[in-house]
Amino acid sequence: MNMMATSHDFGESEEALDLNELCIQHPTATYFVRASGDSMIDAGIHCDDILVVDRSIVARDGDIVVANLDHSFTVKKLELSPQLRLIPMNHQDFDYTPTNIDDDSTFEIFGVVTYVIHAVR
Amino acid sequence: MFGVVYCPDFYVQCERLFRPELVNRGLVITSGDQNGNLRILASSIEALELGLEKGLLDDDLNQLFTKLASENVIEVCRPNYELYADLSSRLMKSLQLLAPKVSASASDEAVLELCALKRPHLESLKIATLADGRLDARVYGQYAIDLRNKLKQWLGISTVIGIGTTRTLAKLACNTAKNHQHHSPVVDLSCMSKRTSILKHTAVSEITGISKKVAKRLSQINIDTALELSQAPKDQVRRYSSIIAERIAIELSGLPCKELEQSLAENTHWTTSKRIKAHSFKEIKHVLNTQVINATAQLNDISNCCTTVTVTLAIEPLCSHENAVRNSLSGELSKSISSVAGIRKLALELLESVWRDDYQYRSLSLSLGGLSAGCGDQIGLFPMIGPDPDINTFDVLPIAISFETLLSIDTADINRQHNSRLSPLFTTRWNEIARVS
Repeated sequence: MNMMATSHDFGESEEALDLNELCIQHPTATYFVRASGDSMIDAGIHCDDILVVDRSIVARDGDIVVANLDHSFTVKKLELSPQLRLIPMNHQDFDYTPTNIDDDSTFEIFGVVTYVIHAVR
Repeated sequence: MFGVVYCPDFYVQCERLFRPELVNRGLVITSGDQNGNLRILASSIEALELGLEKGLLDDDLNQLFTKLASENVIEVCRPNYELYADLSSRLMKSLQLLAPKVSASASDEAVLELCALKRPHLESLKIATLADGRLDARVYGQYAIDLRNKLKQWLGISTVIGIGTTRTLAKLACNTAKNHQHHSPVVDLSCMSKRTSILKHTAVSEITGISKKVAKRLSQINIDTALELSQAPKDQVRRYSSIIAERIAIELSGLPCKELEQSLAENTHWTTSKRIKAHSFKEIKHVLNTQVINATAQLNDISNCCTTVTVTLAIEPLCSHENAVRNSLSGELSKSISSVAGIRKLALELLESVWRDDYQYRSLSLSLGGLSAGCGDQIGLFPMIGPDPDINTFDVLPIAISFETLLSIDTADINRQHNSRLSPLFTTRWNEIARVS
């Protein structure tokens, strides 16, 4: 009489859940960056959060993107029409204002933010 | 049909990817060797225009370099191999998703066998299928443009792509795209008229696999351009130069030659030699260790795998011994241990067998042979540069330290002089990922 059930008795076990599988659709095109400041707090992006950035996705209007604006990185909401703008998301701090992207600025989208990793303690 | 994908200025592109402030700015990546000389591993176009070319810095260049660096005209970085290795592996993995049959020939270059292109690879292209279901001849060029755009978007790295009916033609097309700004970044030599015009404008010496010596000999029989080589009688080419040149000539005329790749691989080796004043075995071991580090660091090619290691000790001519002993030994590396640790282990074993206590030695050379264009499953030298589990076996070093630290000991002083920095490990360390505000 054997009371011990080994894992063998349950047949082949499924592999454990993997966060990579959930958060990273395109591993070769996904980079991680860390957020600074609170300009995107309404989007759930806090200071020191890790952002999962997928470069293989083509950015659409309303996406949160990491962009290279005048030789530095920024994370903002992308607005394509009526004008190309980067919009901060913090309704409490009026110092954050949208940035219009005109022909004089160096602007390039680095990638689209797909997940935010926030530590709660 | 073959394609060769190459990333121009790969190190510079990697550095700039996460440091947008470096875009359009002179950037130089330097490393020092064990004698305290500074070597430029890579220069951005802006730095090249200022006269800072790749290679060892002589006194004049060193002066210019020091001046530009101190005036902040150029930014100086130490090579961030870990970052380059990660981006190189992303490049190869992306290619495997986007292209059929990929083999990496260097950290920044891969060969694609385009005959195996399948429908899914062409999904996003609007390509007309011919009546009999075959693909239009222009499909390869269009595919390459699409591939290039995707690589740029996915990785943030720009590439040039060459296409040809043989590997040699594809490589030549790639070099044309790389070296001549007026060509588009995708050069397709599958069309006959284009091929003739480009071969006509390519000197024999510019062809990969043709050495200066061979080029000189070919010149004696009036073969100066790639076109002339492709049209020359093949047996004449072989008689006057080498069997490799003959095979290259066959490939240039559009016929694939399988043996070529093999014979090129056998002919590549890397040798370093150093005068030694050391007398004890322990000291010599230390010299050899530095050589292994330098060899592996300077090969630069992350997927370069070496298959043979040769250690030679040259005897001081004054103390000639009656019974000549073997002063050079070679050993073969099994593929599975073709790593820095493996090379070092074998080199030390060889040294031990060659060494005689009663001899005075003049110089020690280390030669890595059979450097093959690595295939996907080969273990490159480069990814092994990292914490090295085998380091304990090396008794010259008192404590176990990582290979990176070992590398930086040699170069730290020189680099400090020029205020160069190692950029953060943006893709491999959580505490060093880029900040966005």
